[in-house]
Amino acid sequence: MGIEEIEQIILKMLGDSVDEIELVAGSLSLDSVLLGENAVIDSLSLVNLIVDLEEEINDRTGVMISLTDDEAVFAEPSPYSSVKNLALYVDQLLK
Amino acid sequence: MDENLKIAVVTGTSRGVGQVIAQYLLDIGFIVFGMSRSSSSIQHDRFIEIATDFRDVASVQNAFAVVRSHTKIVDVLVNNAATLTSQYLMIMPADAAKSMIETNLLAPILVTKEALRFLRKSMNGRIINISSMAPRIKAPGDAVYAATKAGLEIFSEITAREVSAYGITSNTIAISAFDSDMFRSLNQEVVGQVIESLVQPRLLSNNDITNVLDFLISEKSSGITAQTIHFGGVS
Repeated sequence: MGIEEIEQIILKMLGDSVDEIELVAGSLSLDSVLLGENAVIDSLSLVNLIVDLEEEINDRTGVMISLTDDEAVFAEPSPYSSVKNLALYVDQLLK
Repeated sequence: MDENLKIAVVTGTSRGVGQVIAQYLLDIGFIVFGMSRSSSSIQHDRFIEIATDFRDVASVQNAFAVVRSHTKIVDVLVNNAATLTSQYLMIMPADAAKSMIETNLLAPILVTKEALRFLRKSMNGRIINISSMAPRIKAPGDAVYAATKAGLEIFSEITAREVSAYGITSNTIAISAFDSDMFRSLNQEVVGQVIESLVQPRLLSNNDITNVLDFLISEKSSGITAQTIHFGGVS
């Protein structure tokens, strides 16, 4: 599984989530912020995104990753600072 | 696995209340994943037993990996597994206190965290936490046990708020006196005095417990959440 595939999975999930909360999905990009003041989703949607992503990665690779343990929380750059950084973090976990 | 059947995860199914609950859910047609440290006497083709050490995070995660290999949906979670050492605090063994906190409080937290991945995919997810009359009776010797159960009840209430958006309810059943290995391990003179002090001074039957379970897991009970139902008239 390559990083581009991971990015597409996250963008698809994010698009579905943004649709659910009635915002414009067209503005989503790899730079979209996931947590904090400029986040494109609310905190509950982020929780859903994290759990959905962990399970999707498990379904595709058979590996159960954790995106909420101490390593993820204190990682630099934060996996939740953008779609791109989340994809990078998942890619690192899978290597 | 038959997708028309409802699925439950029950902890502590090797004996006592957990065994009664697991057997009842099987009787009404559920597939039951029974998580327990030791094996249960339950023999049923819809009962899947998973050896689990609730004090070990990896063991709990592995247990749910087994669940995941069978299903992506769980409809009912019953956090029942518990341990009890009744002893004056000044002579309470530290290991016994630690074991109660890990099994009675930390384990339901870890189990619920994992189970929510599955419960959120159910249309009517139900979390049932099994508590005790101990937080209200406040009997000497039960400081640690009662504290873990009081913690479980608060955990259940706040979890209810967090998962309400998924249509999941979280409630607690506070058992009074039920004839089990745990119950028989207690000082029977003290237990007798506690039972006599209850509004209904009697032991609970299996039916008492499964009746309340039935009510809480019903699809009609979607409006009942963040509640604790007490037995024996305790309040």
